[in-house]
Amino acid sequence: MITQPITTPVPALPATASVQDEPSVPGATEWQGPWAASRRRRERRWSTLLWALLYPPRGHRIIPTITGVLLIAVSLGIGTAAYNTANNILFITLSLLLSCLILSGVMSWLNLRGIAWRLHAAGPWRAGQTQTVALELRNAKVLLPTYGLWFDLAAGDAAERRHLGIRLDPESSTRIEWPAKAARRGLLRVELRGVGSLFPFGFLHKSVASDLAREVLVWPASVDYRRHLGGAAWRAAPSQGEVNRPGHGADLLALRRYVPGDSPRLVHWKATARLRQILVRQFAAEGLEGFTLQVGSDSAVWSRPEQFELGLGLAATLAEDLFKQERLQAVMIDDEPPQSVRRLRDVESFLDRLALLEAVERPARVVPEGIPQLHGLVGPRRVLRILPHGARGVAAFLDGNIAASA
Amino acid sequence: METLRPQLNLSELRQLRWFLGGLIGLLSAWTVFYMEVDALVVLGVITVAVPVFTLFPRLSIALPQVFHLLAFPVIVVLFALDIWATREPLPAMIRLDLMLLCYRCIAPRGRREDLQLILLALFVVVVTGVFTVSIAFVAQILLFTGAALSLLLAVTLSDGRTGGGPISPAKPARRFLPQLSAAPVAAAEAGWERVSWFELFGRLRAVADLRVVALGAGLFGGVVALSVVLFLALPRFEISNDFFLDRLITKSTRTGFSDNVTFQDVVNIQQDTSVALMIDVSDPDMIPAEPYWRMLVLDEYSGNGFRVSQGLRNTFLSSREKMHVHTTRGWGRNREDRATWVMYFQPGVSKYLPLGGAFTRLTFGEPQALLQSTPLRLAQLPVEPAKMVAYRVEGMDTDGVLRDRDFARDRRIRVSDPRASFMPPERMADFGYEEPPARDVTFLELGLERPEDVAQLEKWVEELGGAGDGGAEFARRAATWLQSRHSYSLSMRLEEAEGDPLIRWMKSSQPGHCELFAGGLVMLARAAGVPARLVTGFKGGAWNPVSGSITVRNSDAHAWTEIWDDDMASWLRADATPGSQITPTPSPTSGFRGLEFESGWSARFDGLRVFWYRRIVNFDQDSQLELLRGTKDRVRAMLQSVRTAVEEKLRAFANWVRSPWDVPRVAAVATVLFGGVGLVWFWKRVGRAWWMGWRSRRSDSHRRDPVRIEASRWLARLERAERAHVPVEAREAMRAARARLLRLRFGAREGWPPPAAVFRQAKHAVRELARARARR
Repeated sequence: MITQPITTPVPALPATASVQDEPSVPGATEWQGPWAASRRRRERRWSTLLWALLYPPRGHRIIPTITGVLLIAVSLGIGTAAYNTANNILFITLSLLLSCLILSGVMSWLNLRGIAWRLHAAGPWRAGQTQTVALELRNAKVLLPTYGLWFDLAAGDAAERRHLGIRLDPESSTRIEWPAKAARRGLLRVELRGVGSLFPFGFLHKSVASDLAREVLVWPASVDYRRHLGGAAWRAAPSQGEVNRPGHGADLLALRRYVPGDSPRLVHWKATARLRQILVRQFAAEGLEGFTLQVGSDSAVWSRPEQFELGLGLAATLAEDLFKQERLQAVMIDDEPPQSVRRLRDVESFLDRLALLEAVERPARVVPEGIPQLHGLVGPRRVLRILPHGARGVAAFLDGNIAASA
Repeated sequence: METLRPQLNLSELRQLRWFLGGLIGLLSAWTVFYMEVDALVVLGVITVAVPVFTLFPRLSIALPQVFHLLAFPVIVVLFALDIWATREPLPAMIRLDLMLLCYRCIAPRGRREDLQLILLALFVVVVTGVFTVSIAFVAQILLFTGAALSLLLAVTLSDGRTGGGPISPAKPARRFLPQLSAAPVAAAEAGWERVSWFELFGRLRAVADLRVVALGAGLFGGVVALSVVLFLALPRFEISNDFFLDRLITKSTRTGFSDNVTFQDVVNIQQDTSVALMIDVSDPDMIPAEPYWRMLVLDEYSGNGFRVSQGLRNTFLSSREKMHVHTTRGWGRNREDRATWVMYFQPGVSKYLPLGGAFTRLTFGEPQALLQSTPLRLAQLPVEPAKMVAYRVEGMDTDGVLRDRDFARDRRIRVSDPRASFMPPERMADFGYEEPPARDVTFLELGLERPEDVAQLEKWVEELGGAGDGGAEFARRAATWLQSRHSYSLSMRLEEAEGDPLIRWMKSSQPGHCELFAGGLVMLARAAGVPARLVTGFKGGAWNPVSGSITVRNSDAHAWTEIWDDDMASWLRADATPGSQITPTPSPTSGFRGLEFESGWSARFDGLRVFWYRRIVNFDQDSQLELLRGTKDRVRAMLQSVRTAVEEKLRAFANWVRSPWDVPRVAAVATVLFGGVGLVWFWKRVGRAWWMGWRSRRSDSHRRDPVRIEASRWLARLERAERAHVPVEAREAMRAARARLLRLRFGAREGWPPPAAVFRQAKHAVRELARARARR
């Protein structure tokens, strides 16, 4: 697929601005690249520059391509013939070929000069779902555009080379997007492994190694599940009252600032007039009888790893669905006390923990016959317990009955 | 916001590549026109097909698959037949290259095919340059370089768009198979062949940024300049090997300068005004008033011209090995003559080298095999040169007198002992001659078949009074006699009749050309018993004031006579052609002022060509050393002049200090000092801030705003200062300074505190920090 990045004007920064002075962007790494390096390196001496030209910095590699090898071979042939015959026409040709090689190096250096890049990989991700990794590119040169760069991006085992297909004009920036997919839950390292270019003539393969990386959390994959219990247990029943969570109930929970899209009916005119800014009413959610979701990590229970993964996926999916229905009251992992769920952040924290949960061996406990071994099952009512079901499946048990299975 | 320039899409890049490929093919193929290689058919095909296919790329797409399958085998077969038929490898290779070039230009190309095209074109351009040594090579190679680099750039940009994948499949024949066009890359470039060149060039103009184009042109100029530097700096060392490709190509020669010259041949050469020879002379005052450049001596009359007899041909002895320097022993007389003549002899003229006369040393740029004839004072290359030959001649006689002691001895023997004329050379020893005359003398043979013609000649000789007073005097009388009977004309009409044509012309009053006058003089001299021979070469030349060299054109081709003079024991030049000085004068040199001066564009171009030969083609290790020495001398002279100037200034200052100090002087000095200090203070206090503010107001970009830049510098300085421990008492000042600097740097201009005050505050903060640290 050919990337067509969008060129946007560069944020205004003085010429001597340091890259660290820029405000950090959530999900983005710090700037890296020749421009960023030159900004950090305050002392710029000619000797340093010349030394860098002779001995490129660590990670910088210049390898002749087939075209370059051909040019060198032709130069060697013509040089040999020139010295063998003292023919000045051949010496002229040799000089011109060598000059072209030098020009290629200079243009390649100019092309990379003033370039900085940073990686945007905002988490968390969902296993099995495609997420966008973006690479923000900036050309800080005043006069020269930049052409023909490529970027070796990797996310876990998946790697791809993305090309800057367009000209990056001076003092502008662009984004290169890469749709990446995480294969499994856990911590995923998204990294830029290197930047390279064949510009201008394809003689030299110039590459700059990069250690730009960002770790993103990958939540368990979303799974398709089937509900059981004839729908009776799932049916929403009003609870004792409203819950302290925004929703569509009748009780006023709070006032908040107007955001585009809010209904004008929600505007609280008195408060708006008093504070001179538009405020809208926020109502509490209706209290429904909810569930507590419990996940165990005992390897004795989860003897098959793929079953454990499926169980975590079911737990994550159920947690999201129940939260959307405003029926997730608490979550539990192993023997820990239940954590009440009031905000989206609580669900996300639960999913974060699921992302890193590993099946471990735990001390054996006596459990009632017919029910798989669990820990810490005392306490809340209406507990949905995620357990293996059959050889490969998993199920959510409610009071010993299967409520959902996957 | 700046208007965004458009960008070329993949199809447009593909079209640009196609155009550049065609251009490179055409440019390189046309260079073969300079080479006199018989490739007119292929060149004609290229000249027609390549522009047509380049302008209409659909034709290329429409080529049937069988064409691609058969193209290479057919070309190889044609090459094999060519080699078999002509037995000339290099011309066959050039024709092969042209055929491949033609195919590459009209067939669809990918990255690999583009590279092949560039290599094929480079081969043609370089080989042509090597063989022609023409100044046009500079233009050709520069054009080729520019076009090839542009093509490679377009290829790289295309690859950048396609993710490095091939623009087209590796095998062009498979390219048009439908299943391969399913790739996204192919889809992206689909339809590229439907090109509107006007639109493409319009797009190119829109895409091009003037500054980038100027920078590109500057970089290309830098490449050329760097090439010149590399060319001059590349270490030269001698490997005694010759240019082997010379042997792989032959060149036709001019009949006027070959072993057999018929009348009118030299005149035919005169119709050609192209340059035959360029001569660089170290001392222009040594140029003779009427220079003659001898190339060939012909002794045997053939009835319709003269030819080189076998005896003379045998006098040319080959050097044992190829050498840079060829010396002669006892040829020249002007040993003390320091003038050096550098000859740039053009190809296609002759294998005989033009020389003013006898010489002592002949030096070539490359190791060169040479055939030299000591009695004739001539030098000959083994084969007709296919490229310009440069050689340096030292100790060359230009006075038209060639001493020949061997011939003088031979002549004495034959004159004193009539038996010697009839005895074979190998039996001369039987008659007491230790060193018999070794040569088969033909300088006295008339070569006339009819006795009437011989009788006619003897009658004319009798009219002229014979040759009793020596060859020189007889030559003068005979030449005058010829000039009195004939006028000069390039065209000669002689009625068909019985008898020798030369004698019939002499008998008539028809005008004649130089060969007839020279031939007539030879016949008269021989009839009078004076050895004589015909010489062809060039006479005269023009002075090129641009290059300071002599240009000899083919139109200066000439034929004259050399007559033996017993008194001088030398061969004397005798030119019977009207308008020429018959025999050489005692003071032969008049310098370049005696020559005709060239002017106009042709003179400038010829001057450029001489510069090309002198500084580029003939550039060798000696030239490199000379250049180094010259540079060193110039740098040394420049440093010396700088040192002298500085010493003078210091001396003047010391004198000024030593002179008496009175009150007005002290006051003047104090005023200047205080004025200077005041100006500095004013600048630092007011002027700099005003200047910065003025530039800041005019700046339309945050990046170039001097106030923001200065604030950035101060922030960086504060950051460096704060890397170490900051004492408590200095923290507040640093914080305040940083806060105000940040406002200057990122804040709106309207909310800026006075920049000068902020910078002073930052300066004080840094000083305060330093003091606080010192106190601890």
